[in-house]
Amino acid sequence: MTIVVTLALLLLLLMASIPVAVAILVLGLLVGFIFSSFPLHRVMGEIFWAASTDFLLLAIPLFVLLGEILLRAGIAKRTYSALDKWLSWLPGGLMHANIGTAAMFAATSGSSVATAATISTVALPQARRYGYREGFFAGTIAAGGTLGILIPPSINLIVYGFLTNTSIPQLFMAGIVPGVLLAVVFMLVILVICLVKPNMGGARRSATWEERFSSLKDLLPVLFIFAVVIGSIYAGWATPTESAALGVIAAVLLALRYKSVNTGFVKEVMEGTMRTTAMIMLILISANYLNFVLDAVGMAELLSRFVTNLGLSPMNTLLVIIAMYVVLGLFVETLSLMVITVPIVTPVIITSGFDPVWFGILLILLIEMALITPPVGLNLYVVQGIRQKGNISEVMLGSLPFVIGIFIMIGILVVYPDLALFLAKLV
Amino acid sequence: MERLIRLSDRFSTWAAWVGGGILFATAIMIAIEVVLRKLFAISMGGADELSNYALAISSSWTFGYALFRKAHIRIDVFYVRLPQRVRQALDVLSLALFGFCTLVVSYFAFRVLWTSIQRSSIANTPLATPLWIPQGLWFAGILTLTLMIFILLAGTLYRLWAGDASGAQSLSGASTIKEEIEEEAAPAELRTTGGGGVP
Repeated sequence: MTIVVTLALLLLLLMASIPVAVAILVLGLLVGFIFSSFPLHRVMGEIFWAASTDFLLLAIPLFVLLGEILLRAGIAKRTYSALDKWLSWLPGGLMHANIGTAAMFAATSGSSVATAATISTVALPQARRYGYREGFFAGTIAAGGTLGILIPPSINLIVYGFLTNTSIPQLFMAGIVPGVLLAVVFMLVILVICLVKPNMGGARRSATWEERFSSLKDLLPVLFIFAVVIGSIYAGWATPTESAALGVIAAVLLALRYKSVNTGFVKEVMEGTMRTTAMIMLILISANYLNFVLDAVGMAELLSRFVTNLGLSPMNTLLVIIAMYVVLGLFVETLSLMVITVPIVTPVIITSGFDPVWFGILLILLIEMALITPPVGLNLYVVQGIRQKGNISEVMLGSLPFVIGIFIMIGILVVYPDLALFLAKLV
Repeated sequence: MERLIRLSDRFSTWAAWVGGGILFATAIMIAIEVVLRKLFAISMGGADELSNYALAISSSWTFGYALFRKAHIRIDVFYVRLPQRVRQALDVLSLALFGFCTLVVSYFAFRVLWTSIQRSSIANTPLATPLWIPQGLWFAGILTLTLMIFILLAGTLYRLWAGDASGAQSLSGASTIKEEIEEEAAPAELRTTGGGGVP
């Protein structure tokens, strides 16, 4: 009963296009009033204050700030030019450089949308110049952009860790190998398609070894940021929040070196950072209150009992959950999807005997899929928005092969969970 | 009315600059703390506590900015398929519920602050911060948000009443895909003009 009413209320509020943070808070208030004999709302102030001053959550605005600085510092262009020299001889040409740059940039950025936007501005003009099929070319960028939240740092992994009390350093480490593997899968998808249908690719380009090695210095900025952020976590010198702060300083140094800093730069960085930060913080603070209410009415226990009564095997439970995310991912924006479902689904997954760190990575893969599946797939719209010609349906079609790529990666991760977990065990 | 809306918009942008500045200062402080701790085994102490207050204050003061920039996510799968009248009703309902929630939150945030003032609560840390200072700033941010929501709500109703449907939509409608892309892509576009030398 509690489950049905809660879900119905939530659906009603969301379908009425009430802002997600408000919908979550209203739901928290209503469920508290209806199902609890205690006046739960009386501690609302304390709960809001506690979440607002959570040192872990500070990592989110700092990673957003880091991304905003890098986005404007002109680093992506250098990286792209270097990877072009290394990868564009393959069948599929520059599209491999798209994936490679996305993977590298993902290692400094915690957001998929930012990654896709950055790569689009650098790469899309090349599609025209070298005669690529633009739909497929744009698809590689939309798909490559999704790597932003799998390869650490990742804002979505922090959100998951916050909501489920899972170790962020472990989640970050667990994302590295699947992230690199997914980039390889994406490149294989391009390779296979271009070998079968050579007209899908554009001009292949070659570079001398001398050019290649001299281009390596352009990869240093990205590696520097990655080393500072992930290295300091891995070595145990810094917590995720502290590593984000170190990353911000490193990014500022790079931006200063590239002389990108001026008044306009600072204003835009601040505005972009606060827009995203305020949006995420309000949702998380509300979700934290809803979690408290759901805990108080015993929701997790109710759900676990419900699922146990269904008599599904753990693997079937997992498949049902994966199917649910694939379907919801078509229609629901990804951060909202995570905040609404994670507190409900994760206890069920843990009861079924799965590892929470591993599930975090699996969830991110499902979220990545949601980012490139129409009708609601933000990365598709971001790439199309920068492309500004042709039809969005070409980008959707061009991204489709990579949806299959993500499915393959999910299969690999289900069969070999240690791909994610072996690095996580080291921290 | 229009002047009030313009003023709040400008004020919220200004709050975003200050909020971002506070966060950046926080990053510097934390980075110094980590380096000192690692290299010289010195702790300034209190850096994390101050950072936590910075997070609470900078976010509570910029919720309104996100509202003006339509950054608070709304699920619009059905919304975009509804007739204009219904959409307008949903926009007003969204703001009204938002306003109701922030009123409730403001009340309970004030109780937290009031308790700290009455008991002269002091943070249980080396800094021994009197809690009313950060909590007061935090509460003021939430109160400002509430005020902005009601200004937006009044502005939307005013424009609807004046028959200015697109004006009302630009204030409180769910952000269209076009608006969303402009927000996401604006920074990146800047650099395209910077030169096209790749590869």
